[in-house]
Amino acid sequence: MLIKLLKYEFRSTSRTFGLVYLIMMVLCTLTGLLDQASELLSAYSSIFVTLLMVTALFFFGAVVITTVLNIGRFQKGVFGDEGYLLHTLPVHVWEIIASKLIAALVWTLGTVLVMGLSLFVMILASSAISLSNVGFFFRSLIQFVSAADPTVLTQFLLSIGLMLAMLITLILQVYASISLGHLFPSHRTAWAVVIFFLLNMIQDFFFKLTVFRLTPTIYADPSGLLSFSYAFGEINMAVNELSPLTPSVFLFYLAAGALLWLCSQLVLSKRLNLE
Amino acid sequence: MAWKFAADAPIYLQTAEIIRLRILTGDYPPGTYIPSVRELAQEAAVNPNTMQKALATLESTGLLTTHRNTGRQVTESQDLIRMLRIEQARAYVQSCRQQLVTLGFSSEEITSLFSHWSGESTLKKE
Amino acid sequence: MDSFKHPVLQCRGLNKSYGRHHVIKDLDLELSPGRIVGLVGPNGAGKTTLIKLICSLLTAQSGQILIGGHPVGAGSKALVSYLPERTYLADWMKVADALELFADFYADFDREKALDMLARLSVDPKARFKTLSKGTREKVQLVLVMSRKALLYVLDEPIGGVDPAARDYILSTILTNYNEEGTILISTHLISDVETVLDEAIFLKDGQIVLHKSVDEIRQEEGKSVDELFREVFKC
Repeated sequence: MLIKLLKYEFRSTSRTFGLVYLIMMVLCTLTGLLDQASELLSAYSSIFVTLLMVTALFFFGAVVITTVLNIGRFQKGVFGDEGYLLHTLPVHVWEIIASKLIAALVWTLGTVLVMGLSLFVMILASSAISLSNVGFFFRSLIQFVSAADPTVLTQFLLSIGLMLAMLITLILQVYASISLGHLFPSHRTAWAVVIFFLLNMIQDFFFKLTVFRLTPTIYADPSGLLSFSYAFGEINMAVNELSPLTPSVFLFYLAAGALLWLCSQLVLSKRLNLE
Repeated sequence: MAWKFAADAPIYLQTAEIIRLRILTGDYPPGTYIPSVRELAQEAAVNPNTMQKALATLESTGLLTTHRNTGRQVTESQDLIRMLRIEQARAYVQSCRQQLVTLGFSSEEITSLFSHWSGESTLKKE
Repeated sequence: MDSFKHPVLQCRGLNKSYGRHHVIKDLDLELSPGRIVGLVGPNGAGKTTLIKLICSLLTAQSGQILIGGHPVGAGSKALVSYLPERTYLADWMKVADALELFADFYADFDREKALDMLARLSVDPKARFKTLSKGTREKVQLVLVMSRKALLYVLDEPIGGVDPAARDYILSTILTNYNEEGTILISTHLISDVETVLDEAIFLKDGQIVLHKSVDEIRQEEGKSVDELFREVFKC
C-alpha cells in the first residue's frame, strides 16, 4: 500500500514541481546565453542583469515553493478535506507518514539538484567554462577521489549522510508540530508554529546535554564539517577532525527523528479529529 | 415513478396490496412470471427487503409461487383469481356503501343510485 | 442464521465531546447485515459526529467500535464505504484518476460497474473534477462509493440539498447497487424522502439513541409514518 500511496503523492505534486524545475532550467539557460551575448553587444547587458536578478529571485522562490508545498501536502492532505479520503483508505498510519516523508525528501533533494544542475547549465551557456574544462574538472575529481585517503572519503560520505539525516529529522519535526498542533481545539496552525520552535529548543537542549557533553571539542555546526574548494584545477578537501563526532551526532538525529515520528504516529492513530 | 404509500400502514403490506391488485386486474396474467425483487423494488422505490416481505405475504395466500431458478409465478388457478376478484369487489361495494350511508342515503336509494349512474361511471373510467 | 455472523457494526459505550460540549453520550448501537438503516435527527443531534467516529475520522473519548468484528484500523477501513457530506477528491484529479485510486486501494471496487454508472450519468471519465459542477461531483463520489462491495456503507446526508430529480437518481443508485449482504447507514434530516427505502430507523437526539426500530414496526405500532413520528419526538 505504501507504493500506491507514493504513486498518488507524486502524481499530485509532480506537475507543480516539474513546472518549477522547467522554469529554473530555462531561466538559467537564457541568463547564460545572454551573458555571452552581452559580451558581444553591450545593449544586452542590462537585460542580462535583470534576468540574472529574476533568476536569483526565482531560486529563492523555488526554495519557498518547495517548503510551502511540502508542508501543505502534510497539513492539508492529512488534516484537511483530503484527509477524509486518506484516513478512510485501508492503509496503516505509518504508511501515511512514510509516503509523505519520502515525497518531501525527494522533492527537497530534487530542488537542490535541479538548482545545481541549472547553475551548471548557466555557466556552460555563458561559456565561462568550456566543455573541455568541465571534463577536466570531473577527471580531476575522480582522480582525487580514487587517490584520497579512505578515511577522508568515509568522512565525506558520512557528512552527506548526516545532512540527509538532519533533513529527515527537520521534515519529521514539521510533521510532529502540525500533528501536535492538531490536538488543540482551535488555532491549530498557530500552535503548530509555536510547537515547532519549542521542539527546536528541546532538541538543542538535548544536543548540548548528550553529544556536546560527550565530545566537547567538536563542531556543533555540521555544515562546516567539511570544506571543499576548487581552484586552478586542483581540488582541496579539508576534513575537520570529526571522527568522534559523526556517529554520536548520527545517533542523536536518529533518536530525535524516531521520537518525532512517534509524535505524529500517536496523534494520527489515537487523537485524530477531522473538522 | 415511485409508488405512493399511506402513512398509517406498514410499507410491505401496502406494497403487497399494489401487486395483488395488479394480479387481479390482469396486469400480471395467470401463469406468467412477475419481475424480480430487485426490479420491482426499484420501480416502487422501496427497499428490496420490503419487496421480498411483500411477495412473501402474497405467496402465503397462494397468489404467487416461487420456483427456485426461474423466479415468481402468478398462480394458474383462474378459480382463485376469480374468487379474489369477487372478494375485492365486495370490499369496494361495502366501502362505497358505507360512505353513502354516512351521507344519509337509504338502502333502496343506494341501489337505485348504482343503476342510475352505472353507465356514466363506466364512461368516466375510459 | 445471522446470529452466527458478527454484527456489521457494534458501538459500545461511545462518548465524544468537543471541549465541554458532549456530543455523543454513552451510545450503544448494533446493526445486522443486509439492512438499510436511516440515521435521523435534527441538526446538531450528533449524526455526522457518530458517522465520523464509525469511519475513524474522529477519536472517541471512550467506548468501542467494531466493524464486522474488527476494531477500527486498516482492516476495518477495507470493509467500510464512506460518502462524506463534502467533496474530498482533489481538484487536479480526473474522474479516471479517482477510479484508478479506488481500484488501487479497495479490493472490492468494481470498475466496470462504476464506468457503466458514469456513462449513464454521461460523465466523461477524462473530465477533471475542477470542471465539474458540485452536483455532478457529488454524484461521481456516490458512484465510486456504491461501486464497492462493502460490508458497511456509510452515507452522510446523500440527499441533503439536491433537487428532486437528483434525489430520485441517488436513491435508485443506492437501491440498485448495494451489496445485499452489506448494510447501509444513511444519515438524513429529510425522512419522508427516504422512508420507503428504509428497513430500520434510528432516532438520534442530543447524542443518544431514543429509538431504534424497523420502519414497519413503527407504522404498525404507532399507526403513523416515521416522518410523522419524527415530528412528534423532535417537536420544538
